[in-house]
Amino acid sequence: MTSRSAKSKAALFFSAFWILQASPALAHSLNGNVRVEGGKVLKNLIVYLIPKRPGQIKASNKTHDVSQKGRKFNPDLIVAYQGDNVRFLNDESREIDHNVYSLSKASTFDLGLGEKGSVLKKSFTRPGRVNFYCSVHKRMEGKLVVLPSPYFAILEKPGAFTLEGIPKGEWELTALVFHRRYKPRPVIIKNGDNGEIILEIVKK
Amino acid sequence: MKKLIIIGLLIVSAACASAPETAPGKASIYGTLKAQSHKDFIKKSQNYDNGNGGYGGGSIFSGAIQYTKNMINYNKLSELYACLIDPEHKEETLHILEVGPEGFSPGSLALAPGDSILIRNNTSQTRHFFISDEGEGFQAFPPMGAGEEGRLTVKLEGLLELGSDEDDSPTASLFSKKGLIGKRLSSGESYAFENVDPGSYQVVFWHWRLGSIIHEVTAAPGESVKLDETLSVDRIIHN
Repeated sequence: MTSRSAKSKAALFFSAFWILQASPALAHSLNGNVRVEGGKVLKNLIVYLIPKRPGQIKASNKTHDVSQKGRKFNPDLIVAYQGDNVRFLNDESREIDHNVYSLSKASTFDLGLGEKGSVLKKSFTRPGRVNFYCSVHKRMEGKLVVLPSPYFAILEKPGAFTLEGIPKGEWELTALVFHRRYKPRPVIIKNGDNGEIILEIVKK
Repeated sequence: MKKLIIIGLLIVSAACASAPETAPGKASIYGTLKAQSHKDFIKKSQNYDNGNGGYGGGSIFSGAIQYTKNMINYNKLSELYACLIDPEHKEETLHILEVGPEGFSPGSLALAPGDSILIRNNTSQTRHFFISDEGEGFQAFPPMGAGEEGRLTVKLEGLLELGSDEDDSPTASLFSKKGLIGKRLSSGESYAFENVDPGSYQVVFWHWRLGSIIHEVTAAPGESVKLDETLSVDRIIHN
């Protein structure tokens, strides 16, 4: 009886813990601004959070679809959270085959040949930048950015951003900058920080 | 018929690399480098018995791929590199790049730290070119006005990007490795590293979009080592 009671209490405790972890009441938003040295207008800045403690956030299995119609990857920039899946759809209107491959360190793969109507799938578990190509067609190339958290914003140009639904904890706020002349200066964000954060992008 | 066979044999023998003459006490490494479509694509072309077109955006005739303008023609692919890695190699090479509205020409370089790059800026504006690795590694060229040229001695190693402050493009891909001696080839061309000291070397075959394959080669005095290679996506990734 005592044992059963202890088990029930433990179960109750873990259920409550799980609910609190997942509760939006504990989540907060982060407002910030990206400033680039020299006022350079950089395109496609990806602002994101890195958890400082392992297990701070739940795993993901979201699926992103990429069209290959007209011999183009669309979208040609995908931002994913580690664990996400990508489906490469051969939705060409006529018999055209595509291949999808990458030689990037974060993920090296060759998905083989996909005929019209086929779907080639790949899951991405390691954060990093992945450049992918079709080995058949000249200008078919795309970029995938795999992030260590689902809390990110894609900015068409430097400026204001908001990240929402962030669980409490310690995070590093940083950015992925495609232009190699520039690098971010990461900022540490702690529990409940909700003042405006400035993320600086500086020249190397 | 006999004439055709003789012509065929002549063509085949001309396409094969012949052993270079090697000085006494020295060695050579030589061969042919080509690029090839993905193995699945080749397999499908061989089993495809319809010349009416459509396959891969191109057509198949008699089991061969008929490349169209949208496709990568691996038979004509340029900027393949055969590279000998000789850590004792000290000679510095000057690499010249032209840049204009169409981008860099050539669009890729294999080189060694200590080599120099000279850029001729044929764009219509002043540019601040740089090379960078994926991390903190960074080197800047002197600013170059339209029509001017500038030079930089490379210090960085690894897979590098050559770009400019002004735009996201154009860019060029660089492969930099200590002691690298590179030969730029088109698919099917021969290369030779002649009269090198006998010993063990790495030979790297690289293309910016296909990646690289590395071989360890040992050449004895007086020996000419033949090393042919084919670069294809599937071979590089599944190797």
